[in-house]
Amino acid sequence: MTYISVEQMLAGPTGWLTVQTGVRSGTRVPSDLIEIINDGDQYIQIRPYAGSDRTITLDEVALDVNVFSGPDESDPAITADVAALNLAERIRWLMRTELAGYVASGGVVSRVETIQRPCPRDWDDDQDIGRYQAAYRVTIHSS
Amino acid sequence: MATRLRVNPAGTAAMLRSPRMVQAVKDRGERVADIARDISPVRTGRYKGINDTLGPGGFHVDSGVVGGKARARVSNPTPYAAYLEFGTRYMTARRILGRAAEMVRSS
Repeated sequence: MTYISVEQMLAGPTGWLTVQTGVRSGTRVPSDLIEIINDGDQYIQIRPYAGSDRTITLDEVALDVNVFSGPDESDPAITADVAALNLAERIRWLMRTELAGYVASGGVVSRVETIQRPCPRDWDDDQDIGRYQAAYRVTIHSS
Repeated sequence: MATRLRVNPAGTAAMLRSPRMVQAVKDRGERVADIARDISPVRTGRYKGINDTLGPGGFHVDSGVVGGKARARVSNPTPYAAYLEFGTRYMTARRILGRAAEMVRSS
């Protein structure tokens, strides 16, 4: 038995969050983030920062979900921050309502908790990139 | 054989704001602060709280009763503390307080 990598389960071209949102995701911020945003796309970064397995086979992972977005050019009301918040809240809803019960190869997601709701975070004052960050605790029962 | 359990909401509420509960929550906050100090990066020492010549820093624990419940808050007044915690374009998130809180939670 091995523990499932929650970041690999969620991120990447076939990751759960990518499939659910249609937005590109990864564990690192790509070097071409500015080009991605300028093309009108968004980006999701999933990054574990802590965790434990107090009960063997039950892996609890605390992870950050960072969302990067530019403004919606077709709607002046949707600034970069608003667009990032909208995606971050959509992800929160998906994480809390859809992820628990998801069966991955080698285990099943048994619980998802919000450690911290989506909050605006600084990124780079010189760029029009909105960033929201939230933290979740995902419990996976490995088999 | 049957067992009957009756919950006393007033008693539960009193317990959640009792001095002993405040102390217990404060103790956990102190443990979070201790771990955060242990894993803090050091360049000038201000963030870790070992050098205050550049301004206030270090980890502080405030505790009390908020909204009828005992609460402890661990904070760091260093201006760049949020950058260390959550990262920026130029700095990877270190998640000092987040990791410390998770360590205390799982201990």
